[in-house]
Amino acid sequence: METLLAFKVKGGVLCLADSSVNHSIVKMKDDEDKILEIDGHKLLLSAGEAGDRVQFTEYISKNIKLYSLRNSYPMSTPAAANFIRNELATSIRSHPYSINLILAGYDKEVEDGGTSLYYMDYLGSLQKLNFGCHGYASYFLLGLLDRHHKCDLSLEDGINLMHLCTTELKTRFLVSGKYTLKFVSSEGIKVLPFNAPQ
Amino acid sequence: MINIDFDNIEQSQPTLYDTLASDVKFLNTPHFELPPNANPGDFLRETFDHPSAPKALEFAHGTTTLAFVYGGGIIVSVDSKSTQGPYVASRSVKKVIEITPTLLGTMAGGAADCSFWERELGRRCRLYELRNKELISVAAASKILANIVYSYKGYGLSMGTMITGWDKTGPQLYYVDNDGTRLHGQRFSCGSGSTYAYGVLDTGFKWDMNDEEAYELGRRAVYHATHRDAYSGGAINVYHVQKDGWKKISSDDCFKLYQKYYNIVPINKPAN
Amino acid sequence: MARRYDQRTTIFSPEGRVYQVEYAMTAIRHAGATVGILAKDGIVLAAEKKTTAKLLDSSTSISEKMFKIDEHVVCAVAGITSDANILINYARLSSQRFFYQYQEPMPVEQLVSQICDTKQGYTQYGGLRPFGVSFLYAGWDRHYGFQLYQSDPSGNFAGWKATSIGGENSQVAQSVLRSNYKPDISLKEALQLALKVLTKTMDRSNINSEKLEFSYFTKQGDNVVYHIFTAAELDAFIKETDLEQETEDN
Repeated sequence: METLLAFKVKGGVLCLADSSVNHSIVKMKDDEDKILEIDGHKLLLSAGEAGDRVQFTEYISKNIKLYSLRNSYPMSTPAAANFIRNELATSIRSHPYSINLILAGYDKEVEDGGTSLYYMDYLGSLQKLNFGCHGYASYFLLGLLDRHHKCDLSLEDGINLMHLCTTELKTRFLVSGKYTLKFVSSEGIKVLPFNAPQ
Repeated sequence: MINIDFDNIEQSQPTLYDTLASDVKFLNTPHFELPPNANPGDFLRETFDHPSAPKALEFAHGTTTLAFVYGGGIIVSVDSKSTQGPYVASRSVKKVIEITPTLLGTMAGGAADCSFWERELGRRCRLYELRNKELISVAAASKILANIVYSYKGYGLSMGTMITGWDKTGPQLYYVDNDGTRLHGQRFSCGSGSTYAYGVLDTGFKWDMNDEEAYELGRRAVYHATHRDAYSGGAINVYHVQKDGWKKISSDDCFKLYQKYYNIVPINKPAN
Repeated sequence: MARRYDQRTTIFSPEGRVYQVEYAMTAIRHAGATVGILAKDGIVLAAEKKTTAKLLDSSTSISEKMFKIDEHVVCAVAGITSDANILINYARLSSQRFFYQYQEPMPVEQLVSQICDTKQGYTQYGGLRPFGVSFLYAGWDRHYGFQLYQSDPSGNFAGWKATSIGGENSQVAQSVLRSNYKPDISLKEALQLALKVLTKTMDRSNINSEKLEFSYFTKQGDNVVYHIFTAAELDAFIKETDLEQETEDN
């Protein structure tokens, strides 16, 4: 019942994730941050099996940090995406991590204005997309985004589109709660205030 | 030496049990407390000798435990009932585990898993203290436990625990369970009675209540859970965590709390 | 009593030296000189060929001392070629492994660093002897553009603007490079400088395609191109350069 959503706007990527941790019918927490800031220009959204999510994303972010320390430059977002995919794909036959991910980042040498967005699932597939969504929410939002999303949306219009998405979830989706919104661009990462419709 | 043939103690001979029990007491020799059943042999067979029987020695599956942070520190409140399927194994289990003089843990799920790993956690915390000349943070302690249980993921550990304490950063509360979840928060409850406890805890919570109110909230929340959850009960133990460590506040029998809360006069006692 | 301290790679002598490593470096001096020059639009690698026998069939491989590690990295060898082959194979494997994991080319310095870690290992863990090889690595990556590195048997490495390895007259080579290198040197000028260095360190009569190997790295648009001179190209280049040098001298 978790929701991950990210799409490109002009100059950056907007990332949204729900912030609840549920155990069977109990909501254990409603302020969990599921958007990990890997480095100054990378966001990793994660959803999935309890325990696996934190263990895997910490393992990834520590390795990417180690790479930047050893080489004194950060790992590029495309390299990070392939590295993460590789880790998922090599562990799936022995100790699978049941988690779905979205990676968003900014690197000045990447084409299309430097922004990149990768969609990954627990089986180890990897897609480079302009918008991506994980969870049941994707059944509601993919159509909406096909209709309304453009890569040259201004940040403000992007945030409005995020509100459109969460409003739709509120209207049609059985579960909905609080969300975290972050933005990554050439200026780094910004945590944006986001009040979902109650 | 007294030989007791459990299979031949029959309901129609209640006097035999009584006689044996009083004999044993009278002789004042080391002895087993006899099960309070007319026919323990049949009882054991009925309870444990069938395909869907609960696993032997898996205690404390039904439980209510809770912990919350408020202005005056942290309250930890738990029940004390231990069950194996329908059988009540104990009504006096210590479900608050005293990890170190500054850290408390709670027990839900497998009693052995909780006591063993939280004791191991205590050992590691003490080692940390000796090596680093300062107390371990609650964040670090709970992470050690979460990493241990995560490494055993899928091997059948059963634990749901709150790790609490007061460190450099103030009062801290973490929830850790056997699938490796580790959550930082202000209010947690765990076990089969947790939903009932949450209902009382969430609605009655105020940040700036005084200590007595806080104790009573913790006690009340678990009490109401024991009332609705058949697998929770026994006594309710309340602990208070403050800057200088934890303190046990109270241990009250649920039945007595029931009598107190609802002003019920025990039948065997005349009203005063 | 120095003998007691030169039998193993893993122990220091009382003066704080590791003799086996020093012997390995000496071995490299017996090899032909190899010169590397970093230009603003590319890198030159040039070498002196030592094993030239009349009956040697050189058509089986174009190059004796230059090896392509990946599309964006090449190296030139001075020392024991068979030792070098082991390391080159490892370098190629590392580069492909990196690409497999990250789907982007391995940055040059990381590659050099990995090979040097292997070399270093043989000066410390119980092997029979260290690798008797020095390398010049030329490469391009998006982080630092064109880069030239040198490594030695101890596992040390550093980036250079112009340097040489091997050869009996390495002092001469270094001083010619020092006095002729300009920071904004073009690829063409770098090729000429490399030839000049080799002219000074070798017997003048050996300056021909039989005894020399020349190659360069440059960029064409977005692509990195590596080119090894054919015998005909090299002879033509030598001829042209010699003439130019004569006119310069006038």
